[in-house]
Amino acid sequence: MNKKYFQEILSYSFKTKNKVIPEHLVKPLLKEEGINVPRYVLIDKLSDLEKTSRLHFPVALKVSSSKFIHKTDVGGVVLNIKDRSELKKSVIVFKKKFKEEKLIVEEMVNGNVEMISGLVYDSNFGMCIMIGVGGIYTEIYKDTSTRVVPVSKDDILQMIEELRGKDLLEGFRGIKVNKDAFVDLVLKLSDIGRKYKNYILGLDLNPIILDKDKATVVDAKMVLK
Amino acid sequence: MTELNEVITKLLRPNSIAVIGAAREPEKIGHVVVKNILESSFPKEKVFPINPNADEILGLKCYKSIKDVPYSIDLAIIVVPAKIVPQVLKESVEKGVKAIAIISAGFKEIGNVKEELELVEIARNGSARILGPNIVGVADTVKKVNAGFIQQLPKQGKIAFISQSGALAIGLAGWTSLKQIGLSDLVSIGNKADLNEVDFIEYFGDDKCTKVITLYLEGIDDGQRFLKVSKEVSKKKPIIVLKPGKAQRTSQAIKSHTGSLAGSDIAYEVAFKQAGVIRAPTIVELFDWATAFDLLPLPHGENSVILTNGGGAGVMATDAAEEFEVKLMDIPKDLAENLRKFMPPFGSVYNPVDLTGMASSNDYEGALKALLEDERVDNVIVLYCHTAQTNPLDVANAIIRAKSSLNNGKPITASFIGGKECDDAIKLLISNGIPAYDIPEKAVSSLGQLLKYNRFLEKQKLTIKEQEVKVDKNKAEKIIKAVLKEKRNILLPSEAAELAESYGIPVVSKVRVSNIEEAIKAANKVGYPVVLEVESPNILHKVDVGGIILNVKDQDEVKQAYEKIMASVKQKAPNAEIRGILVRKMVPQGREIAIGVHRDAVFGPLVMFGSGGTFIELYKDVTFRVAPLTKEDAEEMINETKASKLIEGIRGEKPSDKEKVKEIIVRVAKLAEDFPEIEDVDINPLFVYGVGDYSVAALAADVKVILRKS
Repeated sequence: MNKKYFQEILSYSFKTKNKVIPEHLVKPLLKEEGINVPRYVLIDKLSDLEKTSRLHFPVALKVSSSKFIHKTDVGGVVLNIKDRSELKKSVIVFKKKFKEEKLIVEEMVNGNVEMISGLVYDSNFGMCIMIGVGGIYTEIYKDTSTRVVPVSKDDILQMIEELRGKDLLEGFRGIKVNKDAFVDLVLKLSDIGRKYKNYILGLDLNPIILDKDKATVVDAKMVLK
Repeated sequence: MTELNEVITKLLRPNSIAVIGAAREPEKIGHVVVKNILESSFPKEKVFPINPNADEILGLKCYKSIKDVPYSIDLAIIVVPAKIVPQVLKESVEKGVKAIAIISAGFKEIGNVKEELELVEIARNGSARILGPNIVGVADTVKKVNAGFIQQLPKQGKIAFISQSGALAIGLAGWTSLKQIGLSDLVSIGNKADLNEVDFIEYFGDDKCTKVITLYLEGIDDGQRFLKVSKEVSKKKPIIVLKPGKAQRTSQAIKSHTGSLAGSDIAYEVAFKQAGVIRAPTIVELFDWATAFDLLPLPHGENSVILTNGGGAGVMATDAAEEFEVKLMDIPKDLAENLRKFMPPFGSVYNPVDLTGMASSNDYEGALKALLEDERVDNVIVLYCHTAQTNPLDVANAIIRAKSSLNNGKPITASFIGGKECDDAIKLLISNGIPAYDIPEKAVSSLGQLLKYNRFLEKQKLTIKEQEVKVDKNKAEKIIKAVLKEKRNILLPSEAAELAESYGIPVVSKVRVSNIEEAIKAANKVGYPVVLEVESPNILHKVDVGGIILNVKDQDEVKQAYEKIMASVKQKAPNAEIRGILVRKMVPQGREIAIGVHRDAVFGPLVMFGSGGTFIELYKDVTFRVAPLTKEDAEEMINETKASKLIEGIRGEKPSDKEKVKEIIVRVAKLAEDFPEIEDVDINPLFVYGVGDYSVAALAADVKVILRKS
């Protein structure tokens, strides 16, 4: 039995014939599975801006759509918005640029280390899970480690050991992060992979921002089979 | 002939030999040495055993002292206990012997450094040269002399082997013979008190009987000379070296083993690369590759083809081709049609060309001929797995026929996988000038080394103009002298920045001030926002003592920041001597790269380049070269690291000015080269900006310089 928010994803995909799932549908699923995401508000029309009063500035504004899998490339992300008036201006611009699309206003997350994790379905081995050091470290150094789902806590600790940047989770140069929170997050992602292996082709959590208390998924991309 | 040439010729290919310490007892080394010389068919009337207590050894007249021998002696071999070595050495020198090989042990390798230096002193006085002490001897197949306790004279050939390990030299005499590998000379260099590896590299570089120089080395004493000589000799013939010591534990073992201080392995790796010296991981590759160099002409080009009768061998070879940079060409259509004649319909004319398990020796011959005839093909790797319907010797003969019928100087290497018959086929191929091996990877890697060496030679042909960079050497000298005068070896941040500036390295300039008014004036001048930081020779980590404040926006904030730093430092580091406050512009964050220098004990200034930032130690994305450097070297360094991607720009960033980065690398190298006082330089991060993104192309945010402790 699929849980509520995964069922919503499936019906969205069925109705719209989209395999790429917009962020505003992925984040509730993550929350449902106990994965930490920043506080955010979904905006359809300008008047929805009122709902953002419960958020703490600075915030980020993002377009949430099946059409734009790489939001940054289409100018679909504005970071570090400092106050209400700045936010309003940006939302007006976005509403013109992305008429049909939903927008996300989300609290900015501060942290010390950026990690990534993801699910990817392999035609030979089935659902696999990957972790890595975020930013240029994934992009340039390909500093990642992969296993077949499901993984145990020990598996994840071993995966971390395989990363060249493993010391980043061990207080490198006094940088404080909560390694357990990251391990717990990956464990939950593995569980998503196990439960929905028949549907998911890929799920990217990037970046995952770590601080001394928690691990927070700032952006998530999902593609169904 | 140079003096060195003359003495080494006497040492390796003497006309007369005295063995000092010759013994009558068969189990003694002093006996074995005489026996070996006689058995290697050296004329017995030119062998003179020296022993004060014997009249005759192995039928030869024995002399009490070398001075009693009524003939001139080319080579004296000393096999007496360490204590007596100085005395007999002195007599040899007085006799006028120029080449002296000391087999006796008990010197530097067990800590007797002074005693060893004394030997060199004695030899120098008579302008004689010493090989050893602590060697097993030398074996030469040109003149057929086995002068030492090596158990057999190696098979004759054109590979010279120089060994810092005596036991390995002894072992390899038999090992190489077994594998059909011929040597010109086998030289044990032992403690290298006088003659060392570089002398022999120089000698064999000019030796007509040697085509390939191979070495087993544990350490090099004079790195700069090694670089210079090897680079010259590499242009004439290949040098292949086996140097262990990558593991931390190994480098400990080496230190206690021969007493030579091994430099860090990275310095060796880099020095070998720069000198064109090929590094082999084990003795197997060392001689696999040496054999290929010995037997084959150098390739005319890069286009290589794999010819096989098995898919598996082909795939393995393809992987190895990528690893060893062997370019597998696309087979042109007409050539493919031609090759079709020699395979069943399910064969493959892609590269690897797969004749399939159906292939006969005639198919091999036909296909190989077609490849060798085609002028677009430069090199061929022939692979064979023993099938029931073929005889490996027939296939070997087919390859030999194809080669000799065309004889157009295209390198062929081969691999035969199978049992005894394949081993025989391999031997047959080798004796016909085709390097053949038991596994495909060896056939590929051997060709790969030939191609790599070819590229080195091509590179040497390009005349690289010495690029003069303008520097202010006088200013740099003043800065360094001032620091040394204060008996410090770590430069203050302002001094390090100034030193870098004097060599044209762009740095965030820092103004030193000593009161608030000056600080405001300086801040106004450099432009807001600014950074204020404390300058003190006693404070290394400014953050820890509240000694740095970023993003200071106006005059008022400058005043506050100044007072805050002073108060905090006085409280947290009450004993630190404060030289003032540095004011600098807050520059935008660029992409972070790093340039540095570490002075290596063996090779001198080792210049580093790579990705920078806080995580530099985690990712170790860095590469090294020994200074001096040209811009071409700098270009290579950039391309060897992932930092090249940062410079090109990722995720749609604008590219940075690569030329400028190259120039900065060359300038840092020059700084280290010009000042032997400099032990370490660390520029991290060097911000590089996208072209047009900022007013400058690159800017060093932090420069650290450490001088040698006097």
